[in-house]
Amino acid sequence: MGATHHATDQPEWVASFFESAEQQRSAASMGMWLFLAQEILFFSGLFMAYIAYRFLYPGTWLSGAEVLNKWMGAANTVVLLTSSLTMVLAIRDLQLNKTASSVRWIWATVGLAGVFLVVKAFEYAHKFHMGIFPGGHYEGGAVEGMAGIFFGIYYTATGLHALHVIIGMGLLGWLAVKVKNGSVTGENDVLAENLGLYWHLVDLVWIFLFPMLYLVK
Amino acid sequence: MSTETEAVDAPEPSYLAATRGWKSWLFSVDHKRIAIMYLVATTLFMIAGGVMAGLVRIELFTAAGDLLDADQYNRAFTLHGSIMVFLVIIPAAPAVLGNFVLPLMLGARDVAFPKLNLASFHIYMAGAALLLVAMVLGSFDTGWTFYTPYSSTTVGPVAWALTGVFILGFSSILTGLNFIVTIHKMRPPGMTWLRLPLMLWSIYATSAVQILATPVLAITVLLLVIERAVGIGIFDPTLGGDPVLFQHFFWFYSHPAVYIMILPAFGIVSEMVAVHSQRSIFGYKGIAGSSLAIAIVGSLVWGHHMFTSGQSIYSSVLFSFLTFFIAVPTAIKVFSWVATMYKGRIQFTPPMMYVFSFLALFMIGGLTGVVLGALSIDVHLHDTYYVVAHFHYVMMGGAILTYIGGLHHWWPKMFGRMYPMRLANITSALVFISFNLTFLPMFVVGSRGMPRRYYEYLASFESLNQIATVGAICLGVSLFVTLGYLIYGAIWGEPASENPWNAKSLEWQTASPPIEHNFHYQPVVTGTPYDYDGAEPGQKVKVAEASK
Amino acid sequence: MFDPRFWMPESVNALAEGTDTLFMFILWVSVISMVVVCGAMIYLAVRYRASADVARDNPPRDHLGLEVTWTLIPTVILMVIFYWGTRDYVRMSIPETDAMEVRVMGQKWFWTFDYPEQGIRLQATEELDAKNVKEGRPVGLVVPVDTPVRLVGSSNDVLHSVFIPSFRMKKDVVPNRYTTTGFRATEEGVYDLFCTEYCGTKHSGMITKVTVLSQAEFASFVEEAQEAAEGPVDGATLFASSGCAGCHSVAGDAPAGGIGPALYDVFGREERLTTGDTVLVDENYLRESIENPVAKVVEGYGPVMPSYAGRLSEEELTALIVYLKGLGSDKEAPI
Repeated sequence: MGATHHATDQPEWVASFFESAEQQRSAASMGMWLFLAQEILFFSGLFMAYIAYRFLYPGTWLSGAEVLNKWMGAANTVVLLTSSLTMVLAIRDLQLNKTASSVRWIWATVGLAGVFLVVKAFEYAHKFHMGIFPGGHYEGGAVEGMAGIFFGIYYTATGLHALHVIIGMGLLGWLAVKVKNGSVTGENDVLAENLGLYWHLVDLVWIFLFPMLYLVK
Repeated sequence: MSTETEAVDAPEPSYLAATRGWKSWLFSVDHKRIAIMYLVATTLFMIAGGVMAGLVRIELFTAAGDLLDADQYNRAFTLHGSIMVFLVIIPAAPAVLGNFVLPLMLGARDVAFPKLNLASFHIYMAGAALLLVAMVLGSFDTGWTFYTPYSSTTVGPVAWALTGVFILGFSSILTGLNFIVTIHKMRPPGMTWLRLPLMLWSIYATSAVQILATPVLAITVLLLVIERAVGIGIFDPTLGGDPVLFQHFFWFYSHPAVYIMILPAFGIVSEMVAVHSQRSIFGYKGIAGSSLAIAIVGSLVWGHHMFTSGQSIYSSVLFSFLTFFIAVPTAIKVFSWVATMYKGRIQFTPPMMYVFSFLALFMIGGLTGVVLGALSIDVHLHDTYYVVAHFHYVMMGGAILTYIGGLHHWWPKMFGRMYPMRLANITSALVFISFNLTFLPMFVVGSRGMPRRYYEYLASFESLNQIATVGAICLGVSLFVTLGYLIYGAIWGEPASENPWNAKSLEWQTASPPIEHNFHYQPVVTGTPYDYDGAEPGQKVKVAEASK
Repeated sequence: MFDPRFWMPESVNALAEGTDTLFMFILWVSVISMVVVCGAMIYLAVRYRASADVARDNPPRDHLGLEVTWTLIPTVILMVIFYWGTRDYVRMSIPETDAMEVRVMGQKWFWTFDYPEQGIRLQATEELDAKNVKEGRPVGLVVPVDTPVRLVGSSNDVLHSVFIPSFRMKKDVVPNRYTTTGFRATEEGVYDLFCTEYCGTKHSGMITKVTVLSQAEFASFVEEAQEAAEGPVDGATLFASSGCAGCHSVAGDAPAGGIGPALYDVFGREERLTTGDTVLVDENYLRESIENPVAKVVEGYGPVMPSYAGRLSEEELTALIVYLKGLGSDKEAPI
């Protein structure tokens, strides 16, 4: 390596180009916050499209929301909020070095995410059955005006959100393995914290989507 | 792979020689190697985009359509725009020069997330590959702006191209994220915000725009892909969608993207004008602050691309007002750069020639921007060759030529060798002259009424177009000469010293080319990066010996 | 270069009066700025060249007064330009109240001008324009001099834009919405009209003229057009004026390919569709292809033709189909 100015008393999980564990931790954390910022902007594009067309076609929006199943949406809201809680508990237990319990909470989070997707799948299946397809394929008939656009936005927004849930499940499963084999610990917990933040964002996006799409009235 | 044995106390090899084999490049997490890979890739794409520009210009040599047919012509200018914007100008300055100098200027060993940095490069290549697929599948004719409903109805592999743009956006976001965290978290002791080299302020502002604007492009092109795939109707007027909404979405990204392209050039010019005038930069705070002001106000002016689109008069007035506010911080920068030469010790080196060229071209680009910002005149000039000339002065004269100037400035650091200076000086003058020969006539032909993206045009516009085509050929030749001597210099040039320009910032205080880990010791910064006059005692960037 | 005519054709739109003056004002501001900045740059480069022996003590790092000055002066000039441009723009954008209305319809790759008050329709296709020029008739958009005109624009397919350089006027036309602009022509004459929003293959062919007539000439022009509209419908004329000829060749020796299928001897032909099915070209298929063109597209072509449903009357449709039937049978179709 030649001459290096890396202080040698750092834990081995600190990368060689960082001066300290604290520097690595704060860098990773800031990176995650910036990533979340761009995620929010990504979804905000959809929100802007939603707002523009809601002003243009208020009637469609009202009657479109009627078709969506409020109870399934509400149930999913509860499921996701609970999963945020289990994620918090997982991180707390990790920091308290209760590894086994932390892993359990992570899997609980993944399980709740799965429940969310199953409910979502039922909703989609029901709508396809009713002939509610996005855009020009719409043949539902129950909604006045530009129903195609409302459901175009509905499917795009909830679909992209569901994609984020699926990616989150994969990442959390990976985290569970890493916690279990000891490469993420109470000392070196920034990965867990970052994935926790990501998971809260997924939750937050749904908290916006649910009233926007289901509770127009 | 390398079995050569080295003496134990031999000098450390440079980053170029540290390891060998193509894998050591393609999977390197060293920011310097990643920068070189971006350099090679963007240069190849620049040649491809340039060939497309050549086809367009040669076709326009005569008023009638003869060399290409109309559809080929439309594909040629679409590819020229898409390649140059998404594959060349947006990544070139941040990903090549930014990647190379950012950690060095900070005295750091690498960016904050080296693996993410490599991932950005691979994502960039994946996006480029998708654009290539679109080209192979018959190419697309939407223009680089992808306006709906043309882009949602025309035949061709538009979705491939859009997906490519979507993926390129991710590369851009991740690079910006990486750089912001690096500047925040990796500064060495003593490197306060007001001691950052101005290049880093520019990169910081650029990265902020990349993170804030690019996601909106991502969702926009994604919606367009979905529109083409299943017809959700968001931009389709027959289903109640609004094509003008697409323009709002598109320019919400693509106007700030103009600043992603030009802000790094501001940084490069700031460094070059100080170093090659051998004095401290004039108005450091003004230049740094105006970069941020441009990044912020620049995100609020997208509607000035839409003065004739049918958006409301009130929107147009507001966007015009904000547009004029962009001109103020830009003017501050130009004046500060000129003032930096006062009482300097000006070296007529190639980077300085590019500074002169930049100031003249960017002034023309900026002032014609003022013409276009005025609502009543923009109605006449919108979508004519006047606009084409204006943005080429800014994007090519401002961004690309300054990026090339920046390569001249950091070339000896990147490769440890010098290019032939006299040839470089002469060529930079030829580039400047032929650039003006190409684009000045376009202002006239545009204000006389020639619309852009025209395959055939009125005979009365022919002579000016012929001048432009001759200019474009000269420009192409000059740029190929530039490429030739730079490559020659990198391989066979005179070895360069550690600090050939007598610069004061940190990247010049390690070997040329740098060792793999950049510095032997953690630098300690006690002054500004432009300390030439020694007015304040101890204000000098130095590499302090570590305590051991 | 300091003559507005070097830059732009003469302005003949009363509503765009101030535009050229503002353009020349900014040009002068720009030239002065260029001279000052580039002059300073050259002067400093020569005076402080490395080899020069000049005093270089205490080079300033900043100078508050100077920096405030060079912030304020551009701000003031820019605000003047902003005010000027906005004032003129608002005047151009709010058409005069008693204006004559013309509805502009853009479609790949021709223009249709409807005059609701006069009850006439003018078309501007390449073929029709050439014919009008040959016969010495007014071409393209025909308007009377010194009369305020309100253009209400729309599009039948993709975005187009009406650009009349001599009027300093431009407005996009957008499908499913109306955009308005206006002008008042001050000089009789013939001026260029371009499409300035990229719209595909023949974007650069989507050009025509604006013919400004004296008010008396315009009145008689309208009368003639009204009479012509009441006469029998001729399929061949309709084919040229509805933009069909822009994409469909009717010549016997037309090469394969192009934007739309060649129509010589099309009637009774078996066509292979993009779906793989075949279809016999009869009256019904022709009618369907005019009203709902993307329903059955011939192999090798894209679904790019816009619908003419509602744009042609029953009588016109029949005339067009009769004309198409007659193509290639070398006999004039009866009307």
